[in-house]
Amino acid sequence: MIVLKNKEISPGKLALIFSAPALFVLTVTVLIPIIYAVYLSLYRYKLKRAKKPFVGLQNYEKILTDEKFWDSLTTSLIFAVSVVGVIITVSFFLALLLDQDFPGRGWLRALLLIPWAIPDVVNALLWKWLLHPTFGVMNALFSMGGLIDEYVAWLSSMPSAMIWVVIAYSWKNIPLATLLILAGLQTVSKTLHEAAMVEGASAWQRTLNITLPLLRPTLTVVLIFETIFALKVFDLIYVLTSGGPGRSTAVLGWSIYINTFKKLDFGSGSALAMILGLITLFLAIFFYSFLDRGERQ
Amino acid sequence: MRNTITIFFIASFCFLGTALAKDTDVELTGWPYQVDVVRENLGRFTSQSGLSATFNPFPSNEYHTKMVASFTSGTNFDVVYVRDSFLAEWASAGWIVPITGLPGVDDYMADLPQGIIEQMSFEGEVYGLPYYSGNSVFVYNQRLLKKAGINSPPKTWDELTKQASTLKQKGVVRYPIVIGLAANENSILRNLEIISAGFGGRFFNDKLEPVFHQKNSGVKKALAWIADGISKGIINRASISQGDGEIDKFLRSGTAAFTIVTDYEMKVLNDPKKSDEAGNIKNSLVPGSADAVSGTIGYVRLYSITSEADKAKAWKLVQFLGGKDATGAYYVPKRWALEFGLGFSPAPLYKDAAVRNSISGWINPDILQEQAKYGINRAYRFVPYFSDWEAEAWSEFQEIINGADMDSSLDKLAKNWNELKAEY
Repeated sequence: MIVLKNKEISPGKLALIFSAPALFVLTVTVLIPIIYAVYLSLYRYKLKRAKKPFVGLQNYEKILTDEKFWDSLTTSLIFAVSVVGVIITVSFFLALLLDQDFPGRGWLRALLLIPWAIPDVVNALLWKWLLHPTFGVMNALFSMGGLIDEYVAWLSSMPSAMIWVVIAYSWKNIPLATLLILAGLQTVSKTLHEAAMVEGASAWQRTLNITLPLLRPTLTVVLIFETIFALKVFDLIYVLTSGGPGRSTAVLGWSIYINTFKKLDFGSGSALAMILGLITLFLAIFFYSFLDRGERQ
Repeated sequence: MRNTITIFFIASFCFLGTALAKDTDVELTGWPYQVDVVRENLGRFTSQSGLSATFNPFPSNEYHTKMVASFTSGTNFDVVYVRDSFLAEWASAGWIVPITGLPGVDDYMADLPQGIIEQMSFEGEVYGLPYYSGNSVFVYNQRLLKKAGINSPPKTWDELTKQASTLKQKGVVRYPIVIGLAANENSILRNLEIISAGFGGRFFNDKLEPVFHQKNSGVKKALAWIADGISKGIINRASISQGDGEIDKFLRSGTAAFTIVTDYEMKVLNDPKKSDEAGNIKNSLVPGSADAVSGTIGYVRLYSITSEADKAKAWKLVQFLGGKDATGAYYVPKRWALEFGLGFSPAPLYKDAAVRNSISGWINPDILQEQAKYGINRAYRFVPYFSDWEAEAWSEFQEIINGADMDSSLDKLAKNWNELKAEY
């Protein structure tokens, strides 16, 4: 019990007092907009129409029976699975490398943060120039290396557009995942590795049987974060491909933008955003229960 | 203590109120083209009229979205830039008001071509004065054509295919044609409208019914021509991701020989400071076919008055920007034409020796004038549901060019149009 100006305050009340400012900010910036979006999703809320009638779940019904939604969902899932796979694999090996003792390790760790520090839109513009069909560095490098006969319009064809979007996104997001995994590696006791070495275990066997199982909680957190971030992607698509060619990179974030800000249909845009939110929430709960089960075992 | 807090809050609200109070007579917004020049012009306006004016632009690509958000949230400006494609939407919503009946309007209308007046009108009322206007033009690189032994530009799309094939075969340029086919307001649909017009086609008839999906339509021919050109490698596949403002890089660097641009872009293409091919880029009529000599689309960007504005003050600014200044001259339109090559509409400027002399350096004014005769009517762009339909159409057209079934895709788009028409 804490005594303040002769008044006794219970720890619970004190916790509430201290967290009140944060709760207030979250309510204003997160909770209220979400509630408002749910409200909008129940109306035919087109900015260009004077009447904005209540339509119940019609917006949801319309979206779920539209083949374009399923195309977008598939594209989002392909994108998310690809980037999460690339990010976790590359980050894991990078973290293993950075966990070793070698000269310049500190510099390398600092350099690693550069892509992460670049704003999303700047990263997208950077890749747009790198991939330019006539003046892009990628074409020049691949051409010099004999990998291509002539310059390629990477962002105008499939599957190259999706592949480059995945690479551009991963390049930006690998540093955060690497740092998280590196932090996890610091908690793995060196003595376990030393004991395994004495028993004759190879580096690969040690990684597989010691490092990976002990990193499971960290990797699950990275998996949850990266999946949520990947499903929300928008800026990169907006700058690099505008959802194209055709609809080949039109992820759900892009569809929400087109519905809300191009068609000015805030009702269906909000419904689409709610559906994306629910999918993300479901995946996060699923991964978390996986983590929880692993910890209990 | 309590008194101190009360005074603090009252003072804060007073400060906020003062900060939010309008301290300018007329507020102008638009997209950020030559912001410094716009502000210089406003300085001249202030010195002539005694009215203060500010310019607070929004990013070009987001202009429509930001403006709609501003209008609906009540954060209004007095005078706004309007693209002809937004006009019906903004006018029907009551966000901008007609200028009909304001002093001097009839004199300005007498100086403007009928086509431009129609393009600035909605339901019989005129909604502003032109900022700039003109047509899309077909351009070619004369040096590259001569290198391939070609003496004159193509007159038909078939001829263009043959010339491009020659340029490619002779190794003059790898991808002779580039066209803006990116999925945005200023690219794929506009270029399809132009090419379709050259094939004698239209997207909609006079009753605003879709005709693009009909058998052997000009639109189908245009889409097939583009898809075929990309597969043969005479049209650069990069076209699909290139939009307005990106295409000119190919022409300026000599990595493409043919394209379609808006007329004012030719100034940059022939500017020695900005283009390696300055002096080599010429305009000719957009190619035609057995069904049409040529075809093009016109454009108008206008200054309109918002419903929240003090109409008298706002009209003074609109006149200064799109019409005459206090000296009776078309000062601002002439400045845009002379210094930046922007297209203009008032008849007196066509006779102005300085203007004629200036534009002749980078565009052939006679061909430009001839091209304007082939401008197609695009009344369908002036319905409020056009932007809904267009947002769906961009990706669908790209799908067709990339090999999706043309008939079913266009049928879907026609159905979508009819549904929107019924809904609105």
